[in-house]
Amino acid sequence: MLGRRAFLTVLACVSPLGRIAGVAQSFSLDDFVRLSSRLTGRTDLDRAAAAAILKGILATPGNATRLIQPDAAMEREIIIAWYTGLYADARGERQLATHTGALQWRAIGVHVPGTCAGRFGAWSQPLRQPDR
Amino acid sequence: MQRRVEVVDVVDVAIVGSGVAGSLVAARLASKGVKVLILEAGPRVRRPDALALYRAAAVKIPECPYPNAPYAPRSRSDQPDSYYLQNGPDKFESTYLRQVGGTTWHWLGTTLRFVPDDFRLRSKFGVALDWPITYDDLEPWYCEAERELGVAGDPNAALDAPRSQPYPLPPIPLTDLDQRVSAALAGTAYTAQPTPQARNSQPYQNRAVCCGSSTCIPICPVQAKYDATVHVAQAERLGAELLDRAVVSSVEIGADGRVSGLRYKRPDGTGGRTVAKVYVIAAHGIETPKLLLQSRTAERPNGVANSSDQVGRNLMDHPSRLSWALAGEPLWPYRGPMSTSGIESPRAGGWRADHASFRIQIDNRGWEWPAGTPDQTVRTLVERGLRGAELDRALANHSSRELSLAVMTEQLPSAENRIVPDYDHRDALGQPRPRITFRIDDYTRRALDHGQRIHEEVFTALNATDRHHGDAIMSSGHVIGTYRMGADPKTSVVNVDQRSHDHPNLYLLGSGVFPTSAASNPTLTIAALALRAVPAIQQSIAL
Repeated sequence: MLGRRAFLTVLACVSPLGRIAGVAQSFSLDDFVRLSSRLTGRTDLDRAAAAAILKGILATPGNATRLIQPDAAMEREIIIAWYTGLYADARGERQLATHTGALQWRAIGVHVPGTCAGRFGAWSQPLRQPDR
Repeated sequence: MQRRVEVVDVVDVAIVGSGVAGSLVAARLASKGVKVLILEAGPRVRRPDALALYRAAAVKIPECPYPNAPYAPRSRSDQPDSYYLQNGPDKFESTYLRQVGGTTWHWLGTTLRFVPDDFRLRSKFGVALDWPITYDDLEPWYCEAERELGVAGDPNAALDAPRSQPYPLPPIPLTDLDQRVSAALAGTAYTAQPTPQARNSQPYQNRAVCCGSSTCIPICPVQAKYDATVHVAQAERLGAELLDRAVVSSVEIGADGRVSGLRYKRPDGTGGRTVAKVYVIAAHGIETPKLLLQSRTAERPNGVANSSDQVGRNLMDHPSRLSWALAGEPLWPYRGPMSTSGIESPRAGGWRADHASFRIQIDNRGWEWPAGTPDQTVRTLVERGLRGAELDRALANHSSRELSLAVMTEQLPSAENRIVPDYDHRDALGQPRPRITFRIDDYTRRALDHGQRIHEEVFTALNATDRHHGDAIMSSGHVIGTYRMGADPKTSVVNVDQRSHDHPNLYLLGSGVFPTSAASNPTLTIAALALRAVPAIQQSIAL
């Protein structure tokens, strides 16, 4: 179970805290990283990306409570946000949490678009299915 | 630079627009000691700022890294009614940028030449009209344009366009996907050809080699892909002046029929007037005709350069349809430049009496364009309950086999397809917005069907499953044909030198001069024609 820790960490990384103060106190960035690791199976998650995704999820009223004991829909939302770097805001519109932190590119085994992919012409070689 | 109202600039040549045509001509003229002023409606853009906007965008449309200034507004790919006023029946969805360097900031970089038949559609196939010049007339200028833009090409590619000189740069290596598609096509009637492209395969013009960022559209992070800021910088080094955020609002004509000045407005409410010996308008296929038409006066109710009534008419694009499927084996897309090969022989097809020529672009971006992958694949797989290593494997398996093809067709000129200024709908500076009437005809639609039949053959050759053939007609971002070139002043706007038939010191450059659209991406031909106009412009200065 996720504990009541590090409220100040959330305060530092997640805003607007004012609107969710009271419920968010029980859920820290560390808690979110642990939850995300459980859902994605990855232990090397980027904390800046985690903060951005958490901020995006918390921007929808009611989500702070849902994070404490996430249902299947919330779990899927978190996984999709980690892979795509996008979350749905309160109106259902997609917003960006992280571009370079999106896990889908690592899963496919390619560079993040807009970043250099390495050696000139490397794209002419086959790619091996990436290891996790 | 702060300017007061009614500042008058006096120069040899005033150029409206700093895209590929305007900047190339500015650099050439400045190198010969000509005093040049470029008036650019939009602002200067810094690449790091544009990259930051790209990274921050949730929806990465081609325009996402760039400003959409209220004083120089433009359309958006995902909101075709945001600037254009559309009469239909089809939507005109191609866009352009209004900023220093123009739309080359987000072009793909494809530099195919047109094929010889593109210049003789009427005489060879009885369709539309011929150009007033031939392929052979333009060939030396294609060579020059390839040097200016830094084209990397494979000398062995079969592109139906004879060459007198080699490509300036060695070819960009084909992607693994290209090679697998090409191998699968052996035994079919089609071949995949390497695409010539203005993308550095070795350092050129002090620009880096391609690092495979795969975001040629919307932005190359290292400027390995040519853009017109190369020639803007060159022109400025050679003494040309560029005034950004200067929106030209009217072209004035003197009693002698010559252009006597340009009036421009600035976002701070000031404005100015530019007087030159020769005027060049290179503001692309929507803004150029709009400016000419809105420069109407009591003496010229049809606007400037419009005794033919052809200004704003014959608007064309390269209408496109997409098909996508999962290949039987991994092709490993999502790597390399966004497209590096295509099926090019249909550009020179013998069927042009019946339907349009076309090319098929082979995409390196999986199903990104037609289906919004990989995001959409993630959503589907996660909704199915996959997570962790199982999700990664399924995502890699799907993504690695994604292939999408885009048939891009020629479109015939039609006088009814046109852009006019809408004086009832104005932008922040009070300029009329463009109103567009646009219809895609059956000549083009038959070519789209033909292309999608070839897509199906390619999919079969690749043992593909999950085959999709999109019905939607997509735009290619190519704005063509609104101030056509021709020998007859009654039916065309500019002559073979791209000089106005009506006003001897006015030149109009860009894809607007194309009498017909061909099926090849337009930028190299825009550049070749612009370079070809330079000697005539120089002669006009002396007159």
